[in-house]
Amino acid sequence: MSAQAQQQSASATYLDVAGLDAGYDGVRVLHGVDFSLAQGEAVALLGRNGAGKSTLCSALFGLEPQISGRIAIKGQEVAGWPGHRIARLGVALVPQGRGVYANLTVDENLTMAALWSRKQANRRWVKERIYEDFPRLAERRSFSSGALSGGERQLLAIARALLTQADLIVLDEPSEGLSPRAIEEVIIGTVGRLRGEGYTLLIAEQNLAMALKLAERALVLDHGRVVFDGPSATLLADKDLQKEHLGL
Amino acid sequence: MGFYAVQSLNALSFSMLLLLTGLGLSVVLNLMNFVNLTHGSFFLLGAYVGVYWLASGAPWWLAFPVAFVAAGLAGFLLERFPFRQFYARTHLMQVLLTYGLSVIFADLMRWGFGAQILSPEIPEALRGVVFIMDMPFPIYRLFIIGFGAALAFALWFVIDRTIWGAVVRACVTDRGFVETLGLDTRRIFTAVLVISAGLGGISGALGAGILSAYPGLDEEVLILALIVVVAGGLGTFRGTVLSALLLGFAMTFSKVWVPEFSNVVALAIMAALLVALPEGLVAKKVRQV
Repeated sequence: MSAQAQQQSASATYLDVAGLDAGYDGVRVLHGVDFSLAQGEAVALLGRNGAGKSTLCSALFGLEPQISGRIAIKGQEVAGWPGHRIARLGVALVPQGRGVYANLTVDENLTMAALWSRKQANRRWVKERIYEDFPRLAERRSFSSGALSGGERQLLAIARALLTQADLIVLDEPSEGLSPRAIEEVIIGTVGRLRGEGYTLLIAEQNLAMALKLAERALVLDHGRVVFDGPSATLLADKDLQKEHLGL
Repeated sequence: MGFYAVQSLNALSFSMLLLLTGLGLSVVLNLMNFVNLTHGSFFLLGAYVGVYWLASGAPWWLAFPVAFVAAGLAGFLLERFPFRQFYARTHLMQVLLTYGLSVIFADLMRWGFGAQILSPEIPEALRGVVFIMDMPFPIYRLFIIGFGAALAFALWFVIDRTIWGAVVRACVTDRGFVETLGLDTRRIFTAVLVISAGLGGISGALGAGILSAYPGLDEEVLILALIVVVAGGLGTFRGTVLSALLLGFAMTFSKVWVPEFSNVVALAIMAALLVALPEGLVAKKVRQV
């Protein structure tokens, strides 16, 4: 961890993972993963296919069958908590493959995301504001989500994460399967905007160049272990490391 | 002509009972991937509650909500223990558990309500017949058709058109992800099981007026409801409606034409249907395993 990151985490650690093991049916995918995220930080989570990126993302939400180790979100130990309680701490997942419910309309997807916080005052995001800020979704509001393009679906998944009132957003391979134009618009544009607005982001990616454009810090997973944790620039400059752990 | 019209209405009223019972069973199977063979027990419990309520002199129309509440309460308790502990188990384990429970409930109900056949006292307002093409048809059956259709429509509306229905549909696709939106899916599952059990109970109370209430009715109804759900195709509302209609008409008309072999004929039709269309009448595009 860089000196700067260490200093930040001392002030406001949003996510602190220590000795995290996770897996299913006796197959261990993550082995003693340690890292932390400071408030407002954008961190890329890199690694080859099968390195454990998705497992890590879903383990944070208690979605993996077997988890041990420590996960603390905003100072709360969440081990063993059901997913909805973790989410209510202000963490949201933009799942791989977007996880939008094809049999639900765009509007239903958004309403559902805002459901748990519907009685709160001073919500940062409400559905109306999503429609104002993302007119594409407003045009498609009554469409079934299955009929959206890849980029629109990704936008919907991000909007849904915002509506849960989260300020720590975990994106699992957001650029997967998107056209270069959609990557530019939705990922660089929207995710970049969130970064500017002070959201804390963990971006799992295969697309090194894109991820490092968004994140100032990078974590590299290989075979379920963290093998690099440092500034994006260091990783970009280190071709040997890229070759060994990312197969580039 | 009048004869067939009346028989068709008979079939329709029976189909309506099958539909309500089948919907309760199918919503639990599709949403929670849980095979609940105690569903017939909810039906019989509702039937007994209906019979006793109608004999008590209390306002008759309350019999149906009360049957819903009684069976719903039983469902609520069973959901806490032991159903919840079996959601993640295999279907075979769920079958063993719920079949065993249904046998226990059958004994408990025989002990509590007796072994004789109990028929409810049909309330004044629903007694008598109307003439349809000069053939008499019981008003009570018309009531079942109307009430059942309204209830089925309400259920469809809730599932298809409201946000809570959307949440339930989302749970079918991916329950874990619904949790990450801050929604407590355990409570959603509880609610679904209670509604399912309540539907079983209310169908029982409605059905008692034509089927009566007696030990063994639970199993008869369970088998028919399972046929409706499986033949309709898993996870389709439309399919459940179609197969309830088909089974209701097949059972009614086979009793008219071949009374000695009515069950054989009706069930053979459904079996042939399943062989021809293994996915059910209406196959869903994406199916949850």
